[in-house]
Amino acid sequence: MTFDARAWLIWLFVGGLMAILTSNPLYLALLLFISRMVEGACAPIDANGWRLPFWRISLAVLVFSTLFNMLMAHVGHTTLFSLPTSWPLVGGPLTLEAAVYGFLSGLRLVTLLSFFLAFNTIVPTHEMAGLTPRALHELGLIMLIAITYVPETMHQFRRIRDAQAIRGHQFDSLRAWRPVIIPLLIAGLERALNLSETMVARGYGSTTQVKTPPRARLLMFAGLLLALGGAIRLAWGGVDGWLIMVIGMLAIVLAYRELSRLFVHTRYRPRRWMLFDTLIALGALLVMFPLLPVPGFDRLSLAFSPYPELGLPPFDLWIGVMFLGLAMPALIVAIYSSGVEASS
Amino acid sequence: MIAVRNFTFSYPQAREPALKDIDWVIPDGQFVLVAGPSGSGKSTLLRSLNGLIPHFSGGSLSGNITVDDVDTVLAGPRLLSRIVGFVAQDPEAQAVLDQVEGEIAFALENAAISPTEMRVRVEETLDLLGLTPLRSRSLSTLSGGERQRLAIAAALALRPHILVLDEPTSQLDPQSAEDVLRALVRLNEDLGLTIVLAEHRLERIARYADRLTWLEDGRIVADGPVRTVLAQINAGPPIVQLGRALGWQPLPLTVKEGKSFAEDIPVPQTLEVETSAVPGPPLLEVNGLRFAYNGQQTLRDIDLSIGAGEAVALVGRNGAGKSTLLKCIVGLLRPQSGDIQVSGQSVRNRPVADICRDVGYLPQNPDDLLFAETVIDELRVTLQNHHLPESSADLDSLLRRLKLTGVDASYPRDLSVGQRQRVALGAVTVTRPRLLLLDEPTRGLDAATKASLVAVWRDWLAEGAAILLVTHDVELVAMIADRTIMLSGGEIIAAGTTRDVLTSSPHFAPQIARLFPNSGWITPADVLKHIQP
Repeated sequence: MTFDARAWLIWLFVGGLMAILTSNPLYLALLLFISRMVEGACAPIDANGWRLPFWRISLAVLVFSTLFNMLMAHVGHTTLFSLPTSWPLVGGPLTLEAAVYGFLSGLRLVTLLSFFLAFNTIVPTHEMAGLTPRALHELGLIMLIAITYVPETMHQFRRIRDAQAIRGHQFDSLRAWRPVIIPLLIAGLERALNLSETMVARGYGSTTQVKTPPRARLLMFAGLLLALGGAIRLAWGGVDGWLIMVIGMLAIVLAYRELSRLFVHTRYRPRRWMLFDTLIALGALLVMFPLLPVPGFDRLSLAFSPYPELGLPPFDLWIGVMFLGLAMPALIVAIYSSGVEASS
Repeated sequence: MIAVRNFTFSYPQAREPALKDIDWVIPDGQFVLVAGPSGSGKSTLLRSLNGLIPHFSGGSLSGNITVDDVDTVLAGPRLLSRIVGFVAQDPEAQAVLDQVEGEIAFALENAAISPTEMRVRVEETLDLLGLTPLRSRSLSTLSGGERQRLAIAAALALRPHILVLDEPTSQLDPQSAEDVLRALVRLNEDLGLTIVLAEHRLERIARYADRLTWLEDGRIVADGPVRTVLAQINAGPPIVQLGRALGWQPLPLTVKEGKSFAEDIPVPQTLEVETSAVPGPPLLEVNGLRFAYNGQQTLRDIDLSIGAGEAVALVGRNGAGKSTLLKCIVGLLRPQSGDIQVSGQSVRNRPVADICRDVGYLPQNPDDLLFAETVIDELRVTLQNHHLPESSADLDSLLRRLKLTGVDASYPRDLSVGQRQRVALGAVTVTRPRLLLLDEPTRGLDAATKASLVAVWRDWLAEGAAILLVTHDVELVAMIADRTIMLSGGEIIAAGTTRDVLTSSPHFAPQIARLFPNSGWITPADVLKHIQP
């Protein structure tokens, strides 16, 4: 079972935001666990091919950020050992607190990466491109073509490198890559030409009106002018600058709508927003609830600092429970697949 | 209906027109085969039918082309996409998106077809090309044949009633090519689609087409029913060559048609085995070679030996391990176990560059090698790589042999496919290696270019070189190889003289072997030698 790309976008936004907001290792570990679990449950089974070695990268990030901070930040009460102070930058006491702080910064980064990776693995690229607004459709298309291009180019690169190696070529300097780069560039250009020929032969662009109507141009121009004028006015202390800027923005939005209308395009098997998608969005939004000024949550527990002396991080049970809202996709998939099993 | 009237076209800055005074009318529902030597204007003619020429290429023209009374020059390729579907040579260069259904729907989405109508059309197109089981697959998981069928499906999504294909099977192995051609025949016969197809390998397609248009040097030199045209020109599948030489009327196009003529030719009871020259000392010896890729065994216990003056062909389906074996020999891949010796010296732990001084390896795509400014520089680069001295007399003689004398100062990529293949061959053989490994060296080449390459190889063999040839082209194997080795699933399943191996396998048997079973004949020359000694 699959979900709407827009629901996944909300999930990614909330997960990423929480990973940035909290510095508490317990919450971060929970978020990391949830994101990995959701990817495990929702990633398409046949997603073969190259995958980012997540755990290996994570380990490298954690080790690096821990060591880096320990060597650079010489604050904290628990000194592990000291380097001679005459050594520039790294000299001085190396503390447990600095190491823990470095580790936490790394953990944050890893958690953020984990959410992005899950999103990338789960949501098919053509649905991602479907998220691009209509007037920017071509941008989405370029992204999609680039995705098909990358593995092809890698393949070609290896082939050309082998072909040059069998002529006795040795890649001992930067200049020595010329015999690979030139055929690769030319082949890439040829492929791009063939592709554009194919797209034209399949009628790409036959419904798009090439000329931009004067009204859209005028609106865009006026909008940009007003926005700029408003900004300048604000800079000179005029409070009404805001108003001018808003009017300018409005004009730009109108111009954009006008441009979208030019672009006639339909979608194959357009996805309808289903109840499950609403559940995922609600689950994700639930996580944001403790951020609101409502009683009953220990909001301060989100922030944790090992300085000046390392202590145990606090944990608010209710905030932890709310975080489970991000696990909604995995929950739905689990219930759905157990239902399918039971019926079969 | 397609009507080409008095059409002449020149590419920008070209000295000579690519098409000259073409008059050509194709009624609806015809299956037309366009053939001719490389550079004769086939692609240009095909691209003119949907307006890609001149809209995409630029250039000057006179005369006109109309398709269903629509002028192609005035309408342009975008509008014509609803009348003419176009499929190019390389399936990989035609993929816009990365998913089967999405790729077919691409044209429909851009034509703003309603989603419900689109569903119907995509289903119908998937069915037509037998792609339904693959519908949700990613393109990178498809085989070459499947990708080319997908390209055809994508071209048909807008329901054009004319389909134009520029050598759609040239990059495919025989089985995949057969699948694509069968799909085309079905489209032509069941739906009445007009099909215009350019193709070199006439033996694959001659029996399916209604009409053959033969181009040479930008002009139509013969046009009409396939049989009639094949009788006039100096080309065609082996069975046609034999039929022409023996005056068979009507000219047979298939083995079945040839059988009645073949019955009149007495087949020798005892096989006259030509005593080919005894091969010299072994130049390549492979013993117990095993290779695994990603945990999958791709080569198992390979043993082979090739002596000086001997040509050995390696045949088998795609993925049988043929190219892997060649890469192991030159050290690009490291085998798990087994030994490879070139001129009596093991290649184990030797760098690729070192091995390749003694081995000339021509990879599948000649363009991967070419990067220098001139043809002669391409040869020099290899010599410099190996720190070998260059002598202009040697370079000249190599260029002469490869028939590249006039173009030695040209930019290699501006040359024709056949010439580029010869430049690449020169670049890997300028060190005078005695062992040659050729990977699909005739893919996409016309008969004349093929013949000129075979002549060069024969000269080298006579001088004591050894050739290991990987190919799908059984007629080429029949022409040049003394012995043939058949690989399947990484194992040698048959090995012996070319005659024995090819005649014992129905899948790989050349046309002549099928026409005269148990005769030991595999080329038209074998038959002619017997009856006209």
